[in-house]
Amino acid sequence: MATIVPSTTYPDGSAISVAGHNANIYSTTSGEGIFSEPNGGIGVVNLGASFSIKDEHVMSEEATMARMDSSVIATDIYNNAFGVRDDQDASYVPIAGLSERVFFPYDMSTVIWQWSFFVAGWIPYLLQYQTGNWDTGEAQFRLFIDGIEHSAFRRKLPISGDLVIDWADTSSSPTEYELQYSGGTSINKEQNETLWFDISKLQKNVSKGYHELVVKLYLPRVVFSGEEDELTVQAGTADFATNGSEEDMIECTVHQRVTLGTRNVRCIAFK
Amino acid sequence: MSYQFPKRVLRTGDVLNPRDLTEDFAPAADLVSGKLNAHNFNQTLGSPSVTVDRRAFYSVDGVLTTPVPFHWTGSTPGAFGYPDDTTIDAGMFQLQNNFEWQALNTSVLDFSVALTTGTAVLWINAYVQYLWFGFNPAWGTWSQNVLTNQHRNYASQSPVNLQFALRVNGNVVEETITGIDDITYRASVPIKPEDPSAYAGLPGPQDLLGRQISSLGPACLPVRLGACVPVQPGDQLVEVVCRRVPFTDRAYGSFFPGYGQYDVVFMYSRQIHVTELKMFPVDSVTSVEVSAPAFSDEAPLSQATLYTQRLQPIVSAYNSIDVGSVQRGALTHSQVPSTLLDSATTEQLYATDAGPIFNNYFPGHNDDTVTTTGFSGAPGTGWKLITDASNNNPVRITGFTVTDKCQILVLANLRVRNISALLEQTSGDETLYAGNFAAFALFKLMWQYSGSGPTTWNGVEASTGMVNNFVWWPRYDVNSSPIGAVTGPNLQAGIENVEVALMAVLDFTATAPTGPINLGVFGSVANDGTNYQISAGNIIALAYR
Repeated sequence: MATIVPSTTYPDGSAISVAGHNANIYSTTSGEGIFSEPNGGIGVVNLGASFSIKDEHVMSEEATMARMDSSVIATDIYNNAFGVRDDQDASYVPIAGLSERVFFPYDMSTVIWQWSFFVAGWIPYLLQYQTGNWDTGEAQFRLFIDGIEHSAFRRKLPISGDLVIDWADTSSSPTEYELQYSGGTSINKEQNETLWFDISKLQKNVSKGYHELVVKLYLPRVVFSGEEDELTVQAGTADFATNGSEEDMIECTVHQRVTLGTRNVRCIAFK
Repeated sequence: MSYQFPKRVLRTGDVLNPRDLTEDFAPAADLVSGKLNAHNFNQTLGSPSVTVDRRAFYSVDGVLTTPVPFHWTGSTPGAFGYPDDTTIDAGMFQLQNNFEWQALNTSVLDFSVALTTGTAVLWINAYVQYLWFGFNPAWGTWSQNVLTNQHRNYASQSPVNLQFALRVNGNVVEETITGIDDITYRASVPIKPEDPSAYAGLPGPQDLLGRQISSLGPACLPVRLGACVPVQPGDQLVEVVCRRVPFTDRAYGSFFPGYGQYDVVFMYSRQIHVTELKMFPVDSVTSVEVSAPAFSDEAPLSQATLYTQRLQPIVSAYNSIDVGSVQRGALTHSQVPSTLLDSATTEQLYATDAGPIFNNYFPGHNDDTVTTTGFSGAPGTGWKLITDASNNNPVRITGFTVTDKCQILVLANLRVRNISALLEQTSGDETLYAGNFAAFALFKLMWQYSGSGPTTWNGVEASTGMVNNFVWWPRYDVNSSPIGAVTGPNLQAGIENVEVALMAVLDFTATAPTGPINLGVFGSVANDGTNYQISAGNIIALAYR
């Protein structure tokens, strides 16, 4: 729009210019009409020298917006609770409370995603007593935004279970493992390794529409030294019941566990 | 007000009546008297040339940054020792060993942010470094081929049990509590009997009961918290609070389950940054009034009454629009320019299960000495920019360009895969090893003007974060009988995989940066023999108006 220039200034002693008066009020010609020009035509040139956009001028959520979703329900996730997936699919199980779906009604110049979670994992370090062979469990948190993984945000957990295993039989070709350090205390350091993750990611030039952040957990089965089968050990029943004994052995499978406490996801978007 | 149209078109020979003439002018005057809305403006208002009040989209009044250094037993790079628990200064906050939420205030620091807002969402980022006193590698005794205790308060075997949270207007934001609300929470150890009924135990499934895991475990950690909290108009108070969760289960039963007299946790550097994202702000604009008085019967028509008193003020008002002419909430996204002056990010993944290793020496607090030697037999002295092993792919933003006065919020994350150091002792012909629990890695955010040399950086002291080797090697993992096949401590058993989340606020509100800047994440170690390994990292920067 141009600035408004009056078509007539109604000079004294002259008849009113009908066309001029009408153009002063409404015109389809740019630069005319005190009714017509403000009909969507006010632009930068019309702003006063001291004009600046103030906070109350801006419609709510038309410049910035923020969302947060969360869960504070403690959740234990065991690798065998997923069902067995032999394909070792890297994009695994979404975690409740660590996902958020947001609608942007217009293109955003900058979007900040933040996700936080408290986690206590039981991730084993496995050592075979006589051979020195070792292996570790693994838990991976993976970030997906709009279905695409962002690998710089993969996170793992510390080793928290020390699991020493012995041959359970003395034959020349032993086939079974025995849990050597039993009783829980010496194999469990999860209490020391509870952690808080707070991670931020920035995206630029995000188009309008729905966008979704999902943190997924990859928690594979525990195998040992390249074996195909899930690790099983012999453990004394005393580990599981007060009236058990160290001598009475029971077959156990070894799994991994991830316990999640408070978690939340934030999305802060800037036009 | 939306679009407007005249109710009649004046024609030659029409009788001029006062009502029609009044309605030719009055609606336009009414509109420009504080009722211009989104329909009246075109989209050129969204151009960068439009002047924007720096508080138009958000306010960043709530900023508090306090650097509090550690006190070390040593003072020489490579030999800083461990944090000295005999020196306490006024900036350090001592947490009471109870379950009450405590604001981290000291006699010299009110660690809270007070601000007045309209209806808004507060985007809060906060940062605290804590440390559990008692580090001393010489504390314990070598037993079972390992140094059994390396911390006076048993931190190598028991958790510090801290929960942090944000508190807004006296209400703890439960979505930010760094833990589990059930403080007695214990999950089961996932070693599962395949057939629980196969032995003479209790009926039903049987489990190995796990440990109390309701709060933070490591003895030394930087913690960053964040939330988006809707607030009503009025005064707001934002705090970071902390509490010590009581032990309901301590890993080593010979210890008293409570907290002893010398069992103290201190808070060091801490920051709060509150961005008020405005929803319905408090009035900030004085209204304007443009007058086009009604014509009365038999009023004379003249240049004065038609033009000077009516048309001219209206035209002038539209040709030089005042801030008070615009209606509350008038402008939509297409009519405002970019809300941030600049934003940028850099993300690096070095390896999913490895990464570059560094052993450069911490130069000291308030010392921005930088080295380009990340790992060497003769370690460099100074902070080292986090890069890959070839000194490439840094966690760094380059050429961040802001020409106006501004405030820059920097958030960074590092996946610190491992912090390690060896303690060793000779026993007969054996060498005994333990992971050194008092091995410390420090991290800091720094900035420089683009084009500066690789060692010319300015540190943000309040961003300093430190973490120790809290996952130390298990007792059997030594080069000794009976595990003859194991030739030494296995690093895999001592992996931390800890998140180091840093935060800094650069204040250029008084003077704009004189050129583009770079922002980077740096690391170092306190003592010779310690090294740290980084698997991934990222940094983001936002320049606020």
